[in-house]
Amino acid sequence: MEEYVVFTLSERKYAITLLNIVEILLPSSVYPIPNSAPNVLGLTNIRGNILPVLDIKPLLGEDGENGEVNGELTRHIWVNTGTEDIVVVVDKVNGIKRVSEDNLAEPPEDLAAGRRIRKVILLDNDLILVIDPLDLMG
Amino acid sequence: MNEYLPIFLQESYDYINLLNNNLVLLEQDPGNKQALAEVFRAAHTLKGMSATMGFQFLADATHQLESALQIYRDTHEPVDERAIELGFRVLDYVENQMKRIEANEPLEPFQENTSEAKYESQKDSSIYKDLSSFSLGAYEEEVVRAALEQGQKAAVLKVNLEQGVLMKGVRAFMVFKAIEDCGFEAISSEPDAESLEKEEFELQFSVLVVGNGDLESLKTKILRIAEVASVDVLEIDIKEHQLLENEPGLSKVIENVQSTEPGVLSSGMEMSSGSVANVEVVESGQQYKKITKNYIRVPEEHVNNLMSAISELVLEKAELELAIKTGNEDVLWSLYERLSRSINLAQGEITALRMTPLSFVFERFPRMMRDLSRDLGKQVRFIMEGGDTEIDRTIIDRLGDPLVHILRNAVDHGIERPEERIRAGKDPTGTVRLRAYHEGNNVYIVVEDDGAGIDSGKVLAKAVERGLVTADQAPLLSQEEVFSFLFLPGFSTSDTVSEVSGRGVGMDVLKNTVEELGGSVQVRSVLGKGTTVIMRLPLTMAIISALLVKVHGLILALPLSVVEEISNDVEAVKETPQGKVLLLRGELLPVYSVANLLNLPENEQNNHIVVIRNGQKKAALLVAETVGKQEIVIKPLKSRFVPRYVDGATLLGDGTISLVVNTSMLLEGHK
Repeated sequence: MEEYVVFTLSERKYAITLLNIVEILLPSSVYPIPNSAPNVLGLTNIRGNILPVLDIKPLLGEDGENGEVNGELTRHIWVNTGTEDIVVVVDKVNGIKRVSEDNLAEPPEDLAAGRRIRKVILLDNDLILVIDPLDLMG
Repeated sequence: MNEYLPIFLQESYDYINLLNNNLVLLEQDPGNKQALAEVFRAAHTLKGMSATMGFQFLADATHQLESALQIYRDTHEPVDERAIELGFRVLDYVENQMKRIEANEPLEPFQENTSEAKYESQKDSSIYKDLSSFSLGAYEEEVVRAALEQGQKAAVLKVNLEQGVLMKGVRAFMVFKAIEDCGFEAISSEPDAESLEKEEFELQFSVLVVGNGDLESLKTKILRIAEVASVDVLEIDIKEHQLLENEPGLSKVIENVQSTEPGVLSSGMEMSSGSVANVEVVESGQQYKKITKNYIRVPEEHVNNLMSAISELVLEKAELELAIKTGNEDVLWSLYERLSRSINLAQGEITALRMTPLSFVFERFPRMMRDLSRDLGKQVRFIMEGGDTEIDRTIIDRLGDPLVHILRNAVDHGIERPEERIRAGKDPTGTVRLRAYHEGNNVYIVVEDDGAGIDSGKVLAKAVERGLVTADQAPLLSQEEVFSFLFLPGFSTSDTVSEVSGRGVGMDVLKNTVEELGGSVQVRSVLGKGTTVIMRLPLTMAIISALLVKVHGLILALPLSVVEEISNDVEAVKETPQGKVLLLRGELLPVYSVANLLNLPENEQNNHIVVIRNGQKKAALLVAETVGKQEIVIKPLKSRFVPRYVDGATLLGDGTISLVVNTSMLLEGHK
């Protein structure tokens, strides 16, 4: 059994293991960094920790309005990737799911290609794509 | 694995450094009693720490280091070169294993480099040779020594089972039972208890026993066990035991006492196999999360002072609440004064907590320089001064690699071979001096060698060849300008890329690192006399004075240390075909628009001028507004998502995040 945080990006469900999640927050101000990569939305201040905020949709091949805050369900997820702390913007947090090994599967080839999907969770007729946070780093 | 592990690792690295440095001293002067004593002290502590943490391999290896040096401490003779060599090998081994521990990899036993290590054990008697097939770890030796001192007996039993034996495991179990019944304790066995139970052995196994019983009757009792062919009892007496102590070939550690005792054997093992499975599950779950904690050791005094400053602040906060209610402005102002004082005190203390002596990085250099000069066939006297100079931790952490590079260069390219030095009329032993000192708000680190120096003619020729400067301009350049070419990527005057200096960071990386830290680096050299590399670094990075400026609605912080002056005199900015220049008191400075440098739209009046200075170079920056001077706390942003011109970020009074700009990095891309 492992716990995952499940969230939505452009209508599709994704998951990151709870072990890498520090906190889920309501978005606060994001201050832009000039000359940074396009998917770096800026910096945010979480109780004195200044962290980069990322739009991970392009990395995962999702379209989107480039991380524009588009709705009141938008959340910031503070992720510790193992190498550094980042904040990712998601359209919605669906919740925390306990997933057993039986519900985990290798992703279909065409889905995994270019999308950094490590595994998929098949649960309650849902297909949830599992991301390794380290893959978000490069 | 354990909450103490990080502390253990850190302390062990300290001891390894200490041992390395004292071994280098011993090598230079084999009769150095103090260094030898220091080695013993440190080795003993390291051994104890390793054993406590359960890293028996490390304890054993360290034990070997002690054993190899034991006679020299007892006899007061100068230490043999080979013993020192073994010492270095043990330290390298331990250091490697530390890295494995950090990486969560299993440990490897210490591999003896046999040819040299055997020299101690050549003179052994035959009985000792028999014993030597049963190897004693540090733990076993400790037990045997204690037992012998208490008048107990110690022996190694070699049990041979009959050919075709059916239940080897059971027979082994019965042997252990017999040992216990005869008043002995089985300390360890070879193969270990687990292998014995799983019958993973041929026909022979050995058991180390201690106790008060009678060895003869034990032997008889074991022989009575079915399918036991023979038993050899090798009693260990004091003399042999001392021989053992000098035996360098301690290769394997055996299970501890409990698991060897038959009574607890099976249940103990079930437990352990169960927990192994658990650990695997946990690990597979945690493999994404590799969070390392850094620990710092700080003088207690600073913590106490900080605590009292905070208590003051708490009091003052309570008074403030009261004062606000009464609304008395005079009281409020006096409270403001007191609050400022307390905050300054706290700030000073917390800055002090972050200060670390440079010896923290310097410590590993004596060993490195020794190895380096040996590899390169050079004679080098290495002198370190000012290791107690303190500097901010952030800086310390990043200084290691650049310093290693400079020191390598000094030995590799600087110091000549002894025969060349003699020919040049110099002392065959070259000197490399690493010096650190405070001056103002800076720390200087200087590496000086009395080697061949850098041929500025060669550097110039190369610069002309690479089109960095025209042949006409070349003679006009100052010495400093000439040597600054050395910091360009890929610029090298050495004809052969040597193995030593060809690796790792180059001079350009050195320059970048130092500049990122807000410092500067400079090379001076006299051909035939030597080379000096001078690094200037800021004392602290955590709290600085900064000039806040506004560009395109963003507030940026420029460290005040690079700001020369500010001006509104846009008239002095002139357009030239090469771009804008500022005429400032007869000096012409290049002018850059910050908005432009940051690829921001220039849709506002950028008519405030900030004159900055990076090292020797001055430039004028155009900004929309200068907000003012402020003390800021820099939060380092070590993220790959943050561009290089950002040194960190700071929180302004209203909660806005402002980027702290490294001006030399900012201008880097636009030259």
